[in-house]
Amino acid sequence: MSQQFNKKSGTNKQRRVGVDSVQRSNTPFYIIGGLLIAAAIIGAVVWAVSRDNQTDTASTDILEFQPVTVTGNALPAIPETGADPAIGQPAPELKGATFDGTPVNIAKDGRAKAISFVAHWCPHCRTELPKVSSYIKDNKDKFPIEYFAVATGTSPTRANYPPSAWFSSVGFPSPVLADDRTFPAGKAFGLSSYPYFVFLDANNNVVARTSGEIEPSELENYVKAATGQGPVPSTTAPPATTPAG
Amino acid sequence: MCSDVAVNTFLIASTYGSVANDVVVALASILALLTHIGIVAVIALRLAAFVSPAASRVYNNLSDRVAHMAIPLAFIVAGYSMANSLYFSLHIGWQPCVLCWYQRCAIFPLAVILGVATFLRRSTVAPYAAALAAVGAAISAYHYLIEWFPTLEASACQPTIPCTEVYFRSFGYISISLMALTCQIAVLVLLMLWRSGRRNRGTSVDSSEAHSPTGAAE
Repeated sequence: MSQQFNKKSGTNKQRRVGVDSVQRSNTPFYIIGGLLIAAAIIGAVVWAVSRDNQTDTASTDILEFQPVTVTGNALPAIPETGADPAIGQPAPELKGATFDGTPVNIAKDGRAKAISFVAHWCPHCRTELPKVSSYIKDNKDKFPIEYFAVATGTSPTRANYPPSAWFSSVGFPSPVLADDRTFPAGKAFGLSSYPYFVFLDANNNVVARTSGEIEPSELENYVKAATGQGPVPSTTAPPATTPAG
Repeated sequence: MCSDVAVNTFLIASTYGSVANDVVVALASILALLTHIGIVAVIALRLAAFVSPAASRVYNNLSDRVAHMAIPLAFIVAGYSMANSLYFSLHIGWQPCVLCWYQRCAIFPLAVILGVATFLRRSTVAPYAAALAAVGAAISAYHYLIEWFPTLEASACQPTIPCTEVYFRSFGYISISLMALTCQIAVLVLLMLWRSGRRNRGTSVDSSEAHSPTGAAE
């Protein structure tokens, strides 16, 4: 009995020593892990606060949503197949303002128009806008046409907000109309996906509409059509990204 | 009008709505970066172990030391990822897209089953956790790919939430989908270490023994 007790006692002691040695050998892991996590937390706080300081100087006079007045009948959405029923129809007129309150009117004034509807969070818009911007800068006086952008689909909780900063960083050279919270400008032009272009002739009638990314060469073909210097390119509605579930 | 100014002032003062949100995003980004370093180191060591006896010794030593805490660590990784995901959507207001939901279908159960395994000290859950993590990782990898190449999926955005929308890219490459991918690969790497550690001790990986330091059921 005594031998059994001693034997058992010895075994337990050995096991405890084994456990202790494993725990001791893992101590550096815990120390390194703890230090890394502490460093990560401190780094995150410093990073976040320093980034906030960089943006504190931004102007608070900027409004991402502006009231928009729509005059005229709304255009239908682009059908997935077949001819666009809006071609030849008079476009509605928009009266609104840009982000800093400067009035922007997109109305019949005897000039052709190219209107780009973009959403700040849409990756395709984020790819297209700089290209369109460069094209406008390089070809401002090449064709008798006015360029506009409409910042629509705006949401403070979505990516790349605010749109005013986005347009500013891109250096968009033409007037930007900030759409209102319920997006009346987008709806008036039959917007169903982004990015979205509408081309109007000098009489304010729809010449072409296109949805999805377009390259500057395609843009030029549409501009030529709107100004009567070329045929209207054939348009099809592209597949849009899958909606959220 | 006044409310517009207030909203804009609030949002401009911080990048993601509040300083707390900024810290949460920054912390998740830094931890993801550290995890990337760890994952690359372990995988490189594992590959080197095939050709180098010295690397094999180091890898076996590492797996011996980490095996008993691999499943609790995997639980911490999956649980933290789940908490982050919920914070992003419920607190900050970033709505999850379809692919985000599919990844949640992998990560949320992963956190639950690894949590149960941790508290019951059972490791039979490992193959199921590995399967979930592998499926989730494949979806995350695809999600990350289309974030960089949106035209692979479509050439236009619907007014709802596109899977190609990127809320941030910390350090130039860490987005939310990459955080999900990181979580799932980290779980897989930890399970690999657990398996190697068990093999080193000559214990069947299919047994239902606990993941204790001594390898004994508790």
